[in-house]
Amino acid sequence: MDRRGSQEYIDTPNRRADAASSDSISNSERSVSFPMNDSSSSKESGSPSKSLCSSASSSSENVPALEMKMLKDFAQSDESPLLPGEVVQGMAKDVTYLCPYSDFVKGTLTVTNYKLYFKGSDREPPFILDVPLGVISRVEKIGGVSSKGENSYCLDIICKDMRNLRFAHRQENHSRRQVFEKIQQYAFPITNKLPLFAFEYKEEYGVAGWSVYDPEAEFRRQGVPNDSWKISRVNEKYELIDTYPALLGVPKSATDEELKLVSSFRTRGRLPVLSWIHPRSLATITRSSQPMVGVAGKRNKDDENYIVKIMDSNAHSNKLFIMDARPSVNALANKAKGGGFESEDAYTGCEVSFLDIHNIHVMRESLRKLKELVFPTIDDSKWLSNIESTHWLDHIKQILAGGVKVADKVENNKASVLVHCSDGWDRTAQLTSLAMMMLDPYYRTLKGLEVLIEKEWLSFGHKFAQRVGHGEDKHSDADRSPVFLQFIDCVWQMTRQFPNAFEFNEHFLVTILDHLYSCLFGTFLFNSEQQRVKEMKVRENTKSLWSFINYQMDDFINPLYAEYLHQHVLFPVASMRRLEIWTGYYCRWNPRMRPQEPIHLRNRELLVLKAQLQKKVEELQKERESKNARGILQSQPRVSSPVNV
Amino acid sequence: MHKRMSGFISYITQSSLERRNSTFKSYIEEDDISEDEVLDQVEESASEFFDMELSPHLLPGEHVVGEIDNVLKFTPFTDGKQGISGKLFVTNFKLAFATADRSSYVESNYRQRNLLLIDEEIPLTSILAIYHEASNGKRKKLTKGMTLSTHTKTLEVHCKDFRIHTYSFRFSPKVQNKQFPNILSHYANPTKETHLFAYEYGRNLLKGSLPDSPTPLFDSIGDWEQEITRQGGDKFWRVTDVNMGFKFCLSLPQYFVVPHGLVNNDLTKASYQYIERRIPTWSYTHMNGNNLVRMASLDPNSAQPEYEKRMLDAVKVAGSQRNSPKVIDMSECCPSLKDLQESFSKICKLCMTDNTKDFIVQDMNWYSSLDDTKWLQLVAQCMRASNEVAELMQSKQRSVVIKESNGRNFSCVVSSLVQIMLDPCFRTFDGFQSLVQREWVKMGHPFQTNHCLLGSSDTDQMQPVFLLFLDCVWQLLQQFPGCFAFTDTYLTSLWDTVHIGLFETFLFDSDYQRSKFSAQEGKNIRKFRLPCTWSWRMQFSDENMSFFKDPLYLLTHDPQLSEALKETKLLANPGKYSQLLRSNKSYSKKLESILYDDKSDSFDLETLIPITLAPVIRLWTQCFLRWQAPAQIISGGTPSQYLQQCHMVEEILHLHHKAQVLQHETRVNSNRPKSELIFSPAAMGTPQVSEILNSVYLTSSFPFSPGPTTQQQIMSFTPTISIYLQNSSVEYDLAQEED
Repeated sequence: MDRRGSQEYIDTPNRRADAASSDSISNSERSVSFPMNDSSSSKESGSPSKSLCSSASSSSENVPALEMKMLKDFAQSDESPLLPGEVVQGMAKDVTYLCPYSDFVKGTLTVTNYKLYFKGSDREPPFILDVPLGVISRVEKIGGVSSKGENSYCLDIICKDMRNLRFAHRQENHSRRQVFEKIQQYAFPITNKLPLFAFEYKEEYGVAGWSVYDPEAEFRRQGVPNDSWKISRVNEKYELIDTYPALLGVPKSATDEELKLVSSFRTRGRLPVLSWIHPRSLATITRSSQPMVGVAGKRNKDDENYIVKIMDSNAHSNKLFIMDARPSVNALANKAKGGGFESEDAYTGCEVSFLDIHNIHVMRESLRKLKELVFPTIDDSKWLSNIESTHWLDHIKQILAGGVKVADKVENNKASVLVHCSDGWDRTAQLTSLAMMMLDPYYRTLKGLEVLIEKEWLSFGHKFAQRVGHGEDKHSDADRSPVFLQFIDCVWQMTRQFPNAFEFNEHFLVTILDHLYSCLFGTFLFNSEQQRVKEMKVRENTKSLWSFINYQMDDFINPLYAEYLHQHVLFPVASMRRLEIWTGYYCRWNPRMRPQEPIHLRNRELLVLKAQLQKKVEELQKERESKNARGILQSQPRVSSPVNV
Repeated sequence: MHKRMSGFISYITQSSLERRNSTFKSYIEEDDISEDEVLDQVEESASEFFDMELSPHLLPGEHVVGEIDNVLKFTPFTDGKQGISGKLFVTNFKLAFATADRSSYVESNYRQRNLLLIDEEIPLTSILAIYHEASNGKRKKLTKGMTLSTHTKTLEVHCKDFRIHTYSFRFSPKVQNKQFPNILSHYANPTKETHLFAYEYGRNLLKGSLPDSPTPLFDSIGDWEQEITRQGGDKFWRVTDVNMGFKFCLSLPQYFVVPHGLVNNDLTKASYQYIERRIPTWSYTHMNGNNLVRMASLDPNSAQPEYEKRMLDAVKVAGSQRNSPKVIDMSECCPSLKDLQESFSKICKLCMTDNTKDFIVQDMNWYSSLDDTKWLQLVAQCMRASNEVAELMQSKQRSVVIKESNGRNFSCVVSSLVQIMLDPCFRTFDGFQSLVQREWVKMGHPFQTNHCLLGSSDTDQMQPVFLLFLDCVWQLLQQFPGCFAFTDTYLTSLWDTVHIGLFETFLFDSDYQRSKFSAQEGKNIRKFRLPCTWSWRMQFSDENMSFFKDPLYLLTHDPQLSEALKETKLLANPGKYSQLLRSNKSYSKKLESILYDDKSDSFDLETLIPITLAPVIRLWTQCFLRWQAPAQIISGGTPSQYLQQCHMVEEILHLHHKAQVLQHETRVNSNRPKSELIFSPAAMGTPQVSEILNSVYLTSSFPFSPGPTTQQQIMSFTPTISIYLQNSSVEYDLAQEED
């Protein structure tokens, strides 16, 4: 095979495949994995191959002819393509993948320290399944040695990304146990005191993903420090609040001593700090945890004064809106545990309202119901009623509506808003980040969303490790909850409502979610900035997801993005009439759900055509100029009709 | 008692109050003005306008039959607190609200305007129901023959375009108040067909003033022959004139198509066995030689059922494969008319509300309510039935005969959908319209009965099969973007046109009825006819019609444009292409087919088989929810995608042209290709387009709803759609110079 000739092919599908999943850029190239350690191609191109296995890889179904050919070429090579740092841990032959959508497939199952790789042997081109171990929630054995019947002796793999996989083993091969143990070991490295794969993954993207977010630069972008806000280093060593970032935006007049006192009155010390400031009105969004008022209704003068400082920093309004994300019942119930909410008597000028967003347990249960509906098959008869009964969209609506309320106060009332829930790392992050996306067009760019996630989610201690359960064999852990998924779902809903207001495409959102689970990058690992930066040194020891994404940014760009159209506030409609189930994510494993003619492809054609023509015009213009220049040089009279260009 | 009125804010009063540096809104909120004072103000400023002479614009043959002064028309979703004042008229054609308050015509209130209907005019045929609220608060539906004796507080008019108009008669003179609803009810419920305004209209239209239809009407043998020939069915099929003078069948057209092997005598004999004598007739011949045929069921009293076999044998012989045709019974795979009737009535209830409270309440169980209407299930059911037929013809190489009791309802849906799926020709304007003309209008779909054009009082009886069909087509548009020449706006406008009641296309139940209409004055020599819907220019201006055109389709299918773009390949540098495209292989393959393929139609997706899984079938929000102001996405929604596509196409054309000019170092002879889209340089100079650009606040309901309804919704940041041109690389001055 002519390596040179295939170079381009290799490069292209590789980078597509890893980026994973579903329908965003090309539905046809969905998730076919290719070997990435093809040494000849790497050498020739002189660059590392930028590919990873797709967490979303599915099957080779629906792959068009061209890809089929490539797939065939590569399928004949190594059994399992490996990433730099990836090691095969076990292999089982004669395994059957019980695909819920097509005929069962016989083949070989390989387990590495990063992924599970299944290659069919009875089909041309081979059926391939490539699943990062990070998405696995639990593994179960189905059937025993005495189970009768074909395909009754199985391994069930329950995944965090809305799918389950079932592999049938033959009793006589004794392969099930080996596979089970290897998966148990490498899918749950934390439980087994093994390193997460992100720490083993050796790849160079040549893009500095870790420096995408520079807190000081982001403060500067917002115009902080200014007359009323400053950057405080009181938490520089994460000693005051271990779940907060090192740098905090606080009222200029607040002393370190004062911050410490206020911190003592807030759950886990999470005092109100700046998230966003309006460039013109200087109205702010601040975030915190709940005040520890308790049943007795304790008051704290320092906290009250501090809130006044936040209010006073905004000259346009003598009112501060405190948006408590919880249902009021929950907020009240928290008083029994020493928490609660600000009383309007103690905090003069404050107006407290409850945004009625439910807690992590309700959300987890809702997603569980949703998964039952969308995987593996869809019951057509009562689809909409069933969707309603999961309440998933109700929660999405409530969160979006909360974001709109915050943005509305800031924009239309020029008032400042303080957002909190109980701890201020789940619902609070959802609300502040959504409101910021509505208010500030910067966060609707690709890099802007990266910054937003780094800032409002990662640096403010959303407990990714706990909520996702990275590398832990505790599938029923009550701390797990799809809080971040809900945020991304809300973002998707906004992109649906405003098709040209966002620089990134659906594929970008799906890729973020895929790597939320994959444990390939250090980005979403651990629970706080302190753990990531200080303890685990992820910046030094792992790659950032943003390196991977920014390396191939073109794939994640929305062709219809028109920056100039939306340099203002966006208010999404938080009505059920405008909210939809994100089928491109939740139903993506079902091949029957894939769009046959995805609109983003057609839109992208427009963009490419335009770029091409633009280039051509520029070249022609240059050519013409140099020609004219030569003409002048040779001082030859030149007759030409005037041309309008 | 004055509570409700006290909040009423008219645009008139608003402007006068604004002069006092305050808005009415703030008075309401702060409650520091007495109710009486408000009322006085409303009346004071309203009376200035009430005193003016107002009259509606009238069509030929139209006259005013009733009027009522001092009417307040509420702005929806303001809970009776905002609106405009004016005078309400009922004519023999429409309900017209005339106002001297022109605020509804300027700035934010631009919307699609029908040239036959000035804003706020409602053809009586498009009224779905009229509700009357008496001063004692009792609400009831006005039905045929009902005479109201109580005074009317408000009158709610529900329309077939899913809009609700609410009028308050509180300030109206008592006598008029009592009369008007009765007059309206009388005229909205004509007792017989000849009372329809269309009869008056047709009589008064100047014969020469009717434009010719751009779409074949299938009135002549020639139209039919041309279509069979185009499809390659002319060897096996012939046009028969057996129904000349409708002596054979009252619901079939005078000409239709039957197998070559059957002479008229065979047809006559066989016809007695079928319901309404509707024998198997030709609909479509696939490229592979298989045919689509439709027929009625056998008459239960049929004495000689063997005739059916004889007819089907003739169909078999007419297929190139000579397979015996597969008969598909619509009663088994399509909904019943009763299902449809119930479903429509439920979806109307769900999608038609004009107050905020109901809107919020409905939102809480929106999805289960939507499920409960079963509308989307009916859509999916029709699509599945059509998929089955299309796949039989395409993959299984079978001819198919569609059978339905009288063959006039779901047969139309399935036969047209199948043709759209299998033949790209029917995805063009002309193709689609000729399809509707042939399979619906000519084949006797009972438009008048199904859409209750004879009266508003029995609209519970609405059986909008055609709307269901349009919805199926809309689903196809969603699933196959860029494969249709027309947009969702076209489909929605087509639906609105069905019940305007002025076009011969949709006014009748059959061709027989249609011909009787034009013949009725035959004795007076002067034959007359009504305009046909396909003469869209009677209803819409060019700029409004530009929204019917799909930019993605234009770019790849318009002969002029695709020809122009093909030339770009001459300069194409494959290396650079791959640079641009490296991230997406299959995508580049597609692009190549635009750029490198010489066959301009190579890009067509020949066969479209839609997905019918429930999560993919979506509510046609543009049609059903366009008047639901709280669900409007301000400066977003699919129209924003549409406009951006239009703009990008314009830029591409401009760049292409520029490259041409540069390349040839002189002016190229050929003018820049014209797109006829909204942002085309040709359109740009017209005052109508600049009005649109500078006054429309884009919403998801564009171009139907008047945009944000309250001042509050128009934020300072909301730009008009001229913003789409802000960073345009199109040099408009230049482009115009060259044209």
